[in-house]
Amino acid sequence: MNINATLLGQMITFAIFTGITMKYIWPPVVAAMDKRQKEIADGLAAAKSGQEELINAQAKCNLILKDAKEEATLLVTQAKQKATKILNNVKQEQTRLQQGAEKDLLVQKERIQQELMRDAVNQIATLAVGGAEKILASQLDKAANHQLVKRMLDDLGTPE
Amino acid sequence: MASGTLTSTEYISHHLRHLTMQHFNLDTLFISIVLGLIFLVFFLHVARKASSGVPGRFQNFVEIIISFVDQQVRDTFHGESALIAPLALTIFSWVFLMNFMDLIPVDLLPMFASFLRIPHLRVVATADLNLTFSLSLSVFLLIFFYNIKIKGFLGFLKELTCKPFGPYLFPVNVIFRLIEECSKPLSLALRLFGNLYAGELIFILIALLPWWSQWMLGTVWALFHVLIITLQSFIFMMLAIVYLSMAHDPH
Repeated sequence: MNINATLLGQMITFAIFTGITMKYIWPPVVAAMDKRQKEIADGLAAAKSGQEELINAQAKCNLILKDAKEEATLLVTQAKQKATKILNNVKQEQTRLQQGAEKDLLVQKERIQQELMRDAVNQIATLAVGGAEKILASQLDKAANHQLVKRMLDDLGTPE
Repeated sequence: MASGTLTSTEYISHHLRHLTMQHFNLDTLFISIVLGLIFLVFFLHVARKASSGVPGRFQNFVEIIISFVDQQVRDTFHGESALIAPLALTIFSWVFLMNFMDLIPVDLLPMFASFLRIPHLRVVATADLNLTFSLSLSVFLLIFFYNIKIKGFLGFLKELTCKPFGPYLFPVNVIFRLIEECSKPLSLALRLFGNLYAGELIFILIALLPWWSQWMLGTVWALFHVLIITLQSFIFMMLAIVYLSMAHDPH
């Protein structure tokens, strides 16, 4: 175990080995490790931000849904009010029309009654005059009178 | 293996002899380079295909080690340096692999070597002072380099002469600093060497026991050694980081 030239040989070998390790082994492996570390960190950050985005989106979604519901409720209420209004209008119109029609009918009825009454009066007058004339014409003939009255009554029974 | 023609002393000393040629311990060089290449090829293979997607089994393994080393460096070293973390990774992995050779049965690889007519083979490279000192002296040079790089030559000189006792006692300061700086590579190298050498020696001693009793001590020591080899590679890496971070901070 004497010290000899092996010492120098080993020092050179050691220097070469260290050089190779420093140049070709250490950097690529450490670079790969660092890159993986960064990728994992990025991935975790992305997952976190994705989760946050999801929560935000859910909140947004809820807000929109709430707005939509409110709007829908408003629309339904408005529609109901409008419908009630239209219904009322229609009812009023109907009442108005009905009343108008009833009034017209009444007027017409009265007019027809008056016309009928006038006609009847006229006919009665004509008949009375005609009867009187006939009575005057055949006053002597009792049978004739009787017949005349009978004819008059027949006339009344079947007006022309 | 104590039987046959070898005495216990011969067996032990045989196991503690390096395969040398000229001034080189061929076994230490060969095994350390092969183990270093295993580390480099495996990590390079993974690094080339490293992706930020779902990691495969190998990439996961490499990432666990790298992030472990990176964490240690971040906790201890507060400067910016592209060198220190890869340096720590190299030390940890390489020293661990070399320590791990201690868990291979002591006679296995020397036996294979003897088939190839290789007379001696010490497989635990970290039980060779040359290797541990090569690591610690490299760290020492880096400490020196960073001291000057961060503080400037004059700044370093000022720190060397004026701390901790002020400029009038500069010889004491210099001696103190010298002792402190020299103790770093010395303690680094000797700690690793001592632990692994002792571990190896005890495995050799256990191998001297009768074959039917070796498993008792062998199992206990091997289990304990799993902890030692990991701990020692971790300590070497950790202290290297600490020393280098001290070189970056004002004294």
